[in-house]
Order: sequence, then structure tokens, then C-alpha cells
Amino acid sequence: MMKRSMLPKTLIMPALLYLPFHQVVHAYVDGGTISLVIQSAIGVFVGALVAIGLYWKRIKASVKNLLSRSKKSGEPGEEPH
Amino acid sequence: VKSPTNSGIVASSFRDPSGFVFWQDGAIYRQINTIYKEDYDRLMTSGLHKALVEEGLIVSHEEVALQSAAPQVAYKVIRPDRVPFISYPYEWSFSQLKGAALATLRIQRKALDFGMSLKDCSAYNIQFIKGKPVFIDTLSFEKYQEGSPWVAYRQFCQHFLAPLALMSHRDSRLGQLLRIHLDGVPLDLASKLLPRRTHFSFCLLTHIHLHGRAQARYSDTRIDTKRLRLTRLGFIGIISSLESGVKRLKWNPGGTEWGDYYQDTNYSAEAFQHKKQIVAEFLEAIHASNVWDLGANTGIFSRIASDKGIPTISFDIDPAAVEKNYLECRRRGETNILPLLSDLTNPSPGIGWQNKERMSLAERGPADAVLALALIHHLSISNNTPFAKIADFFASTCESLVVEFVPKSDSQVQRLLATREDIFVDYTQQAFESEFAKLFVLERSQPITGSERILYLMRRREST
Repeated sequence: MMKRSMLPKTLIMPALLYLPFHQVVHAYVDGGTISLVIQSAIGVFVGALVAIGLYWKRIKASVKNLLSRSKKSGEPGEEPH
Repeated sequence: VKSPTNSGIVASSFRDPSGFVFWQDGAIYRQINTIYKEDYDRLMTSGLHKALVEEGLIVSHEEVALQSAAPQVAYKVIRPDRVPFISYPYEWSFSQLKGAALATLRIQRKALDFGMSLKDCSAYNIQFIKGKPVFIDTLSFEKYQEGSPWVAYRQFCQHFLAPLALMSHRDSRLGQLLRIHLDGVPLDLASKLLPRRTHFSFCLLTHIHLHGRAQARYSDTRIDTKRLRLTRLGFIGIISSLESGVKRLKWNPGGTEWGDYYQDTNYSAEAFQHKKQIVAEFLEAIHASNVWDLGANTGIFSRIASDKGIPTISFDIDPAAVEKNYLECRRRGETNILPLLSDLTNPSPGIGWQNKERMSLAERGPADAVLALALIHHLSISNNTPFAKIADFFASTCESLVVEFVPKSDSQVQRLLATREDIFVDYTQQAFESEFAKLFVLERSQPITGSERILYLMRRREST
């Protein structure tokens, strides 16, 4: 059974992989070159995931930070005398 | 300064212009050519090599003042730590190949941290040293150019991901495809052989199915390769995707012919213990510097040797037995035993260019001592091999031999005879001793208590 989180990946990737083949042509392509094209396309997608992962950690940390600050400022013991 | 000759260049070391490996006075060296100077210096001065050595991911080496084997192109000569036994990916079990794959990705990840990248991801660059997969090719690193794709990506998919996926999702025996395809399993072939459900794995969908189909479909398309870019994040994403994909691949080694052998044998516990004791005594008498256990199953008897500190190679024909053996090695943190897959009736041949790139099993021998326990009846009856030929094989494989004779009356032999006509009139203890005595001195023999089996300790005759 396909996991729910896999759905976007498996649907978007095939479309992405066909994009680079519309580039201007210069060099004769062997299997190795196709691999470079494929990973460039996959890289766009998985790179975005890595970036989201990195930013997500930061966003999560900042939100946690904000929440803990507001919580602290709301605590009676912390109020200035 | 010693003076080497070119005659010792290792046969597989001819593709990479960055350098080559050669033998000199029984030691192995690697020449680094001037063309690789910049990358070698970067590897050493960046701290990458030191970090990899500290993590046990690459062999250590020292630079030596040895006159170069090809001075006109030489930059340096290094002496890497010796690999005790060279093994090949088609001789590894599933978890061994998986371990090698993950070690390669770990090295790539580490290399990126130091501004370098692997330009070569061949599974042959990994060897098992002290029970762990270790990278052996110092010349496989290059400077990472920001935005450049990973040149070794296809090789990683072919050498590691495709065979592992086939072994995990189809059949563990498909690892043998690596023996036919020297540069890894072609991705279009892997894609055809994998079950449809693997399209729902992101890793296998992209790195094998789409990758393989694109190779087949666009092989005659012209593309501007200079415009291809892979950001650092994309690069890290691909490594992470491969890493998590490889980690998810599993194989459960159970239910094969030999995987449960010791649960399905005619030995009593007492006989089994006595056999272990005799093998231990014989090994004490031999003082072997290394041991090959042929037909080792899960390595119970191999461990009698390896636990004494003797480097031991534990061969078996059954992928499940080798897998269980390797998992046990990892569990116990063993450093003296290397389980390998081998069919003695068709052992690894010399393959590659001029049949010399990858050595045959025979070329990697002989061993100091061989254990051949509960093996003779399989070679003789299952494979119709006369005793004379079996004795000849052992004489070319070892100096000392611990061999078990299993008589025809034994239930295991009877089991083999149940499905074939008994044409083995010469399968007798007398004939066995007589043929082996032509090539070996039969030093000791001892019956195993509670069975009809006999263990022999033999030494190869001087003249053979």
C-alpha cells in the first residue's frame, strides 16, 4: 500500500524528469549523461525537500521560542515587582 | 630507495589516469600521478582523509620514498594498509552489500563537508576489513564544484541500489547479476525485473525506474550538459534519498536449503560437541596463519578458528547462511571472520578485461588450512566428482586439511541418494583414504562419537 506522504512525490517526479530534455542540444548523450540529467531533475525536488526540512526546523524553533517567551511573560511569578 | 618494476602492476588498475596499484617485494603500493596532484593534496590537507580514517571508513596509508613505477607521470607513492583478503560484491550477502552501500554514501556525505566528492562509486572500491566495509581507493575523490551533478550517481545506482532492490524485492540470488555485469546491474534491466509495487517507492521509482527508462529512451538525444546544474541542497537531497531508500531495503534470510541446516541434522548434541572439540584440537596442531572454511553454513565451525585469532574466510553456497553468518559477525563485533558466498562446484572465475580484472577464487589462495566439514558427500554425490578430483582441488587450495568423511550409511547421504540412482560404488572410506593419501599425509583420524563420521587431519605432501 502506498503511503499517503508518497503520493505527491510519485506524481510530481515524472513530470519534472521530462523538463530537462527540452534544453538546447550540444553534446552526444550516453547513459552517463542521461544520469546527470535525471539527477538534476530529481535534485530540484529533493533539494526543495531538504530546504523545507531545514527551514521547518528553524520555523519550529522560532515558534517554540516565541511561545515559551509569551508563556514566561504571562506567568505571575515572572511579573516585575 | 627500492627500485620497483612495472611487472607488478595490479591487473585491475588501468582505467583511472590518476594512478595505479602495484606490488613490490611482497608489499602493495599505489602510485599517484601528477594529474591527480591537486585532488590528492586537497584530500590530505583538507582533513577529509584523516576524518575518514578516524571513522574507519577508508584504509590508512603512508607516503613512502619508493622509486616510482612510472616516474615520468609520478607525483607520489603511498603504501596503503594491506587488505587481508580481497572479496567481490557478487560474493557478498545482502547485508554486506547494503553495508558497503551505506558506507559509500557516508563517505560521499563526509566528502561534501570538506569540499570534495566521489568521482567513482564502484562497489569494488569497498573491502571488508576486520568485519567492516572500508573504502580502499584513495584516488576516487575530486574537488566539489558548486552546482555540478554527481558524476558517480549512475555507478552508485548500478553497483548498489539496483542489486539490493532486486535481492530485497525479487530474489536474493539476483545479486549474482553483478558477476555478469562488471559495471553494475543495468538500470533498464533492474526496472524490468523489479515488481510493479516498487513504483510506489519514491527512491526506486526515481533512481531506478525513471532513471533506467530515461537511459533507454533518450540514448540518442542531444543535450547541453553544461547547462545541467545540481545545487548543494539537491546533492544532499539525492544522497539522503539514496540513503533512506537503501536503509528501507530488507531481506529476511530464512527458509532456504541450508539456512536451517543445524536444526535439521542427524547429530546428537553430544556428537556435535565432540566434533567441535576434535576440530579445535586439529586446529591447535596445525598452527594455521589463516583458514578457509568451505561449506561453512552459518559459520559455527569457522568461529572455532576465528575465536583463536586466526583470520578465517567462511564460504557457503547459500545466501541465507552467509547472511546469517554476517549478521552474527556484526552482532558479536567479530574482526577475524569474513563470510562469503561461493559455489565450490563453480567458484568465482577471473572476470573483466582479459579475465584478469577480478581474480578467480583460486588466484586468491591458497589458504594455510582448509576446513571441509560435512562437505565431501555433497561434492562426490550431488556433483558426481570423483575423490581423486576432490583431493586434487584441496591440494591446490591448502597446506593443511581438516576433512570429514560421511559414510553412505549416514542419513544425510541417504537423503542425497533418495532422489538419484546409487552409481557411487567407489564412495567408501577406503577409496577416500586411498585417493587422498596420494596427495596428502593422513596425520590423524578420529571418529565422531555417536555418529559414523570420521574427521581427518591431513598435510599436503611436499611433492604436490
